[in-house]
Amino acid sequence: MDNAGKKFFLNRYKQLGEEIQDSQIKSAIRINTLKTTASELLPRLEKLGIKLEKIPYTTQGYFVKKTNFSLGAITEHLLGYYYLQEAAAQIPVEILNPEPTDTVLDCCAAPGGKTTQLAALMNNQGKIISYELKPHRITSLIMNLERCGVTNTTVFSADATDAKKLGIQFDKILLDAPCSGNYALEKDWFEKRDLNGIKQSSRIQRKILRTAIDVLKPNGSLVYSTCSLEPEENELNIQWALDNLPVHIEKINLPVGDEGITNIFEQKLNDQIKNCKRFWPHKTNTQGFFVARLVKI
Amino acid sequence: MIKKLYAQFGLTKQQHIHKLGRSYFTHSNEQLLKHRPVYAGRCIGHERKEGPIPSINELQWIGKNTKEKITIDEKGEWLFICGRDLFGKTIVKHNKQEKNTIVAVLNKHQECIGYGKVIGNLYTNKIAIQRIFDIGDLLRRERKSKR
Ligand SMILES: C[S@@+](CC[C@H](N)C(=O)[O-])C[C@H]1O[C@@H](n2cnc3c(N)ncnc32)[C@H](O)[C@@H]1O
Repeated sequence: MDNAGKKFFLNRYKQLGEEIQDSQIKSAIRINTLKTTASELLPRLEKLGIKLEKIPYTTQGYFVKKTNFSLGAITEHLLGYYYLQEAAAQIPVEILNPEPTDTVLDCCAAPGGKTTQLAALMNNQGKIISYELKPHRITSLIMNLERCGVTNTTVFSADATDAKKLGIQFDKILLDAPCSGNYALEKDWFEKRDLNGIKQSSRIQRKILRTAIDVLKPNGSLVYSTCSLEPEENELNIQWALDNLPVHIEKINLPVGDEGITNIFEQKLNDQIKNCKRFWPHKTNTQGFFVARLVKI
Repeated sequence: MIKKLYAQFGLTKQQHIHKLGRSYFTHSNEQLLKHRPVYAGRCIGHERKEGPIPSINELQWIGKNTKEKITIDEKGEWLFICGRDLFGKTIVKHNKQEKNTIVAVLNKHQECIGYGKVIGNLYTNKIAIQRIFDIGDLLRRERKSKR
């Protein structure tokens, strides 16, 4: 097997101060409070022999400790009582913390994990407007919204930059960006990725970010997240936003994850980037992840 | 049309319906409809080759309001959401058993998990309910489309 890709990336992580070790992602669920509550659902799942453990840093999340069958195929899932959502992926919406009165833009929506979470936090009130570019991902988005009983959302099968056409200024925005992913999520990730692809992702992310800030109300907040560990898609994009867009970066208070890195391949970044959070799989037992909270000036 | 779906259960519902793509919605945000969304508001069902199917929420409404329903045991529930017909002996309660009636199928929690047609005698070792729709349908479709 060609190991050049792996060496290349591990060397980059080393330069960022991280020695990668083996890691195991814990699978997790999020209770859908639009349809049930923890006190109703947990005893029911326990009776089926499913062992769960509360995720300490999310409000409705549980790690799956033991199950004898696929959690996607049982009645409780099919009726929308919970969503299969990895722990780190539950964080961006909690940080955005939408109110039931807000109008929220959800830039990159499919398959809908975070859209259904936004709707639950808003108690199906206010408004969510979601975009998804890839038509083949729309079916699963619609099915998940429908299954979870989401009624405050309008979905467009289009590029998120089309949001400008709506003439709406949003209270809050979630930009869960398309990215190059990470090695903990995908088999042979190191062999499939290269720096050109990562830079291409970064360009797309900046384009969506620029539009999103355009349609955000002053003082409104935008949460930017990726499941990438590559600085070009994370800290370097946030530095670009600080240099080019009317934003500052707010601190994310979470008992998990590292600070954003401010020294990237000998480039010194703005200290505000420490306010972001970076999840190395071997430290957090989650997928690789990055999250930043930007506030429009 | 989606109205046919309610009629099968002897039900009617007054509501303002929008069809977007192959799905039906109510309570859509009217101002946003002109931008041609694919999902807007409360989804009540989808159009399929075989006819309309209800959304999960609408299925619960049907299960609650129809007089034509049966309750099944856990073993029957598991088989039914995997797409199988129901043996008579899995039925623990029923309101109706004339042949060819469309009945809502409820589990022990009184949640509606689909519906089917009465084709045989209840409480026997033979197939009594022919499955028409169950909540596992969406998952099976998704799996098929990923293959
Ligand atoms: C990381 S995934 C989103 C996951 C989703 N937020 C969730 O929690 O389930 C990114 C999505 O963005 C979509 N996408 C890529 N480019 C886009 C664009 N320009 N506008 C809107 N969506 C886009 C991709 O097809 C992909 O479905």
